[in-house]
Amino acid sequence: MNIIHSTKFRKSSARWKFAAATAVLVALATAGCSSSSAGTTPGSAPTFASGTTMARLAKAGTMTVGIKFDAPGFSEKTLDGSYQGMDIEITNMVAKALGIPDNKIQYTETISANREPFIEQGKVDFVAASYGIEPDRQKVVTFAGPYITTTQNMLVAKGNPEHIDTWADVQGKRVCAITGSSNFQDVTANAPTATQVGLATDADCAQALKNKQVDLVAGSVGSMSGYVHKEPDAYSLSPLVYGSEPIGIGVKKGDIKFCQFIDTTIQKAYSDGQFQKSWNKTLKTTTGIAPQKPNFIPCA
Amino acid sequence: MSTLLHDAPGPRAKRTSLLLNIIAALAAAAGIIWILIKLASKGQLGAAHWAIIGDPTVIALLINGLGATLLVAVCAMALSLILGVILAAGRLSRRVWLRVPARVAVELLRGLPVLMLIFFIYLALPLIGIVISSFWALVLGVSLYNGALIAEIFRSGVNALPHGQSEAAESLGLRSSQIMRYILLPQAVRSMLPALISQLVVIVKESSLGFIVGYAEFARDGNAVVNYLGTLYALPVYTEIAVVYIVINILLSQIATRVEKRSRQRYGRAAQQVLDTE
Amino acid sequence: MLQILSALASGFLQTLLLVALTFVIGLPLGVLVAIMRVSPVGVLRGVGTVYVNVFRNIPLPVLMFFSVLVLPQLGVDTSFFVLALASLVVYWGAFFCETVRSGINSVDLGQVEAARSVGLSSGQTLIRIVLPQALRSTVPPLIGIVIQIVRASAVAGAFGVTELYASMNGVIQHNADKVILILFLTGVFYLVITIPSGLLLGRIEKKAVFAR
Repeated sequence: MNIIHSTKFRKSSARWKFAAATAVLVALATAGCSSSSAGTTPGSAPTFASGTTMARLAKAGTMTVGIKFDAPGFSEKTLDGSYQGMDIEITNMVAKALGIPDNKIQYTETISANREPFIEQGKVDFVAASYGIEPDRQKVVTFAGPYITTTQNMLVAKGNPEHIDTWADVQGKRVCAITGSSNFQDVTANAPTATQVGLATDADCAQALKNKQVDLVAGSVGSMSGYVHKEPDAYSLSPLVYGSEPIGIGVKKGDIKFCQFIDTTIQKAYSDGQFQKSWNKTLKTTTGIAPQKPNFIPCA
Repeated sequence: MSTLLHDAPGPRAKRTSLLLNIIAALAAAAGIIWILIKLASKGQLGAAHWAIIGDPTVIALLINGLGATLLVAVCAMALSLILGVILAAGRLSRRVWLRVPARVAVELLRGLPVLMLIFFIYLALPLIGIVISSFWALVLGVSLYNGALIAEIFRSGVNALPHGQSEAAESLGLRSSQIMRYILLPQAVRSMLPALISQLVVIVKESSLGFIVGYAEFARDGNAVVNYLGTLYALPVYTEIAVVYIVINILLSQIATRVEKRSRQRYGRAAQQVLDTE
Repeated sequence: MLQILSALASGFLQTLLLVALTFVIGLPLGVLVAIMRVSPVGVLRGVGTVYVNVFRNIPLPVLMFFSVLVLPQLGVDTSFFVLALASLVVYWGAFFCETVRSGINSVDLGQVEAARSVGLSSGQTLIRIVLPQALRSTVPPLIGIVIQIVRASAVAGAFGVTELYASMNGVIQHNADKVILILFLTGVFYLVITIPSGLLLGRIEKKAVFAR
């Protein structure tokens, strides 16, 4: 045995064990770092019936919310790391009603594919991510709201030079949307001869439109009007509008009390004008849509 | 090779060479100037837009994104190593029921795009109840592929070792798993180290795929800047991102080359072959 | 079901086209740059070195962003397919170059000496003696690179090319309930190219060992 385990050999194999151990430690450490830690500071203000989500959150003094980072007007991450948008405003209203300070709200990015799983698994307390209420989703998620009905819009070059006003005008044109997005289903159904171009993000599509590589971009009204808002000399919105969808807040399926709590909070904010103020700050600025009175669906 | 291929230049060859040098340099310069003129005519070279590179909030965001990318790369490297060792042990095992599944796993993972693996993790796992964050989906996706590659690196490293090593170990009574652990793998790792470091470069590059999946890393934060400020900033931001990636990867490759030079003195061609294919 | 298969199949064909064209255009480009890198003209060597160092170290998605969304601003007016193909060609050209170059360096020096002593010029030596032997020894790594190209082609799906990955995305949207099936089918399509290539690679490597 001593022939093989010579001191020189032993030293180098020890070095590799050390390196491997360091690597594993680093991995564990970063795993620890990447999972969010929920702080617990006891809340002081409102009290709720025990056993409700509101009571749990108020007691914990913190909540985790799923939002989008790139939905202008709804929920957007700004350059310096803060968040803005109507979804954020509503989140703040709910937090206030629960007695949770703004800085104790944990924001998690949810993308379209993982919104339902995140709620079902309890990874987030609710989702406010320009969340469209659809029958398929209502099977697994309970929706509070809706607080706005949005549409899918078409972004075109300034002044709409190709006069894209109806679906018939879209025929034979080049339409851009995010790869795999549901907008393509609408295009296939309504303008089957249009060429469909899938890019990675809305921003890429907007750039392609500017480069005249595509004729229009299909996306949600929030994103599309966001571009018109940022660069009014380059873009316009086409009058063609489709896919109206009520936008609400998603909570765990069956949590009727929490759903009603959120509805009540929004209702109160509407009565004392806070809702309209938040709207004007966010959605009105980017999309130009005036505040709509919320028309709640029953919590189910 | 090139010194042997080409004679020491005489006076005529020197003149031709000088001429060619000048022509080539002029052509390259002309090409670059043409690109710059085109960009300027489209208003892409506005100083205000390029100043965005120096803007502190943008830099802070990009550094954040860079940290996120490096985090993915480090975790993916660790995970790939672990996976690689497991798969390599499987492939080199004497037991068929370990060898065959390992072979199948390696072939599968080497043949599928990382984007598909990430997608699979994102969409399929929730259906069996495992919800995974975009960070771990990205890390896993990158690690699965690179783990398979590292397994192959280990395997070729072990196979390149002189047979005498394992024969001697066997004659001393070591079990095959002990031979692997104490004799073969440590030496294989040492000889394959340059190739492993080159894998780091691959991992860093593949972690940039996060922006397609939605993980906030370097390329995606660049995208976020463009999203937020408008498409006029796309060129400067993406150029900055490209330059940073290139610099990081060149540094890593330099480390790999230096390690390879040192180990070449000891272990010969095996490392060189693996290095050049990826 | 038929719809799913036909959508995936047309995406598959686009992927094949992308990969084949990348190889057919990229390999000669790689050989050209390899020749530049061993040439006595300093500037050519420099350009070759810069080319390889830039395009081996830049992530493909970042490169594709430039070719698909920035090139048109310079007046390049062509389809998304061509733009994405351009970035793939330039990117993999660098890898082809390095493979060919190491192939060149692995050709026995005696060959070059013999060729020069018989009177062949350096250019003739390179093209008639060195390159053929170099290319023969690079076949295994080249096949390996082709497998990588197949995998990398998926990125083009996020840049306007409706290849297999993008088709898969679209089909999943229409058929959210058949996700696993679609993932499986797409995987099969990819593996149809990559697994036989991998097996071929293994067989060629074994033959090479025996040949020595």
